[in-house]
Amino acid sequence: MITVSGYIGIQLGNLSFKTAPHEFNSWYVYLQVFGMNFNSIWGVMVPLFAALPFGDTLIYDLNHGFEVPLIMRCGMKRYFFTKWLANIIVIACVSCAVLSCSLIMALLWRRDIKMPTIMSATDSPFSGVYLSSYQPHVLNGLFWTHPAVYSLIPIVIGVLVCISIGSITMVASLFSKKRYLILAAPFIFYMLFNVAVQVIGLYLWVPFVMSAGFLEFQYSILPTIFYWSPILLFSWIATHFGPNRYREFKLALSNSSDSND
Amino acid sequence: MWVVELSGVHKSIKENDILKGVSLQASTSEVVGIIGTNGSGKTTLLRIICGLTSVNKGVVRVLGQTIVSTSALPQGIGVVFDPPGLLADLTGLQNLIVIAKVRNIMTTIELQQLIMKVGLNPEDKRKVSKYSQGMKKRLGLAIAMMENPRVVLMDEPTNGLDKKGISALRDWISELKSSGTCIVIVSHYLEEMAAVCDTIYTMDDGRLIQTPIQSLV
Repeated sequence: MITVSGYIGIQLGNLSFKTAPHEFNSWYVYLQVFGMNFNSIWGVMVPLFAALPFGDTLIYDLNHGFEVPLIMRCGMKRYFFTKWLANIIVIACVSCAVLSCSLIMALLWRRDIKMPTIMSATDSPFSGVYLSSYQPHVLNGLFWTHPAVYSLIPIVIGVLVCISIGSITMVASLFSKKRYLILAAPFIFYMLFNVAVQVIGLYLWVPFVMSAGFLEFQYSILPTIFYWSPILLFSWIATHFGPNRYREFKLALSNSSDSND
Repeated sequence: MWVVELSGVHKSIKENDILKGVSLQASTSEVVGIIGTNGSGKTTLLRIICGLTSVNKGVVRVLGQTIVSTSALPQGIGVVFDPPGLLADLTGLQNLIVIAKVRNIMTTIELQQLIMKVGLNPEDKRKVSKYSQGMKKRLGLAIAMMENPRVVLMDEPTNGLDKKGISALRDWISELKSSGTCIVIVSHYLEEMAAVCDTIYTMDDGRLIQTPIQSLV
């Protein structure tokens, strides 16, 4: 869905701006599909894509009481950590597959893997993409010399963005029993985060931009990693407090059901 | 030597004392029943024994090991909760396989035999969501019977069981008892408790009081 809408956006952009054909070789199209210039679906919907594959795994167990036989056999801390880990592994696999499919589709669609000749040090043949000498972004030069290798980096960054946002479902599962609310939690967090960052005035650091900024060469790898990793770290730390939260959560539940017998 | 031993267990939630210095001992081949009014803390006590709920004060020992609520339980403890924790989208056998994978000590053939022992068909392809309450209960019993337990904790084991199921449960309890297993049952069905238990305690105002079985009949 993201890829197809991205290609439609690129085609429309191509018609509107009458961009030179070399602007749309396979590698550049692949990067633009996820960018905000032609397609905002990835930037806006990434929290939902990240939550849907496995985000309800913990609350599914808790609501069915299935965690009890597992916790008894492996211990609470290990159970919560395994759930967190399983969730991010599934998100990583799914997002990696999505980004890889997009790359394959771009290669099949454009069938143009030649990079244009750089005419001068100041003019870039791609709008929005600067030469590494002028924009000292880590590995930007790799895009010019080895675009196939460079194309793998957005997959890694895209996976990091997805697992960081998707792991919010694990935290939400400790506070709510409602499955749909938990699946929507990363999206709600993402939107609130966007608003908060804009209120502070850091317009270039809003999650919308940071989820796709790397793909459009607005940011380098390191700021993107430093931006998203704390969220992943936060959800990992929260799983350590999971057992405490779980005990009170289930105790309140068992007492209320005991009283209702 | 006591198989299950609680001494001076206190539990409170938000300044509400649920358990006030509960002490309990149970030995091998003993069936202990705990009865009490609704909301008296029977299920909380069971959750404390199997480490799912922490205590504010006191010590819980099962099979000679102190139970810490964040650690795995020692091997040899089976628990039947009401309702039993099952994954609704899997078959009965698949549920058992998922749980058995954690410790990886039971084969699929052993699990199939276990399912047959509780009166269910291991070839049944229906998902657990299609099971009746009694069938779910039987599957819960099968989970408790996994790994040859030496201590079995049961929360309202007869809930949802028909007469045939209750009769099978009684047979199973006596079979476990004769094999040296210690059983702790929490229920409010007094007649059932009187029929199977050796010792009965009443949970009253957060304390356990031993109750003569004759007074329940």
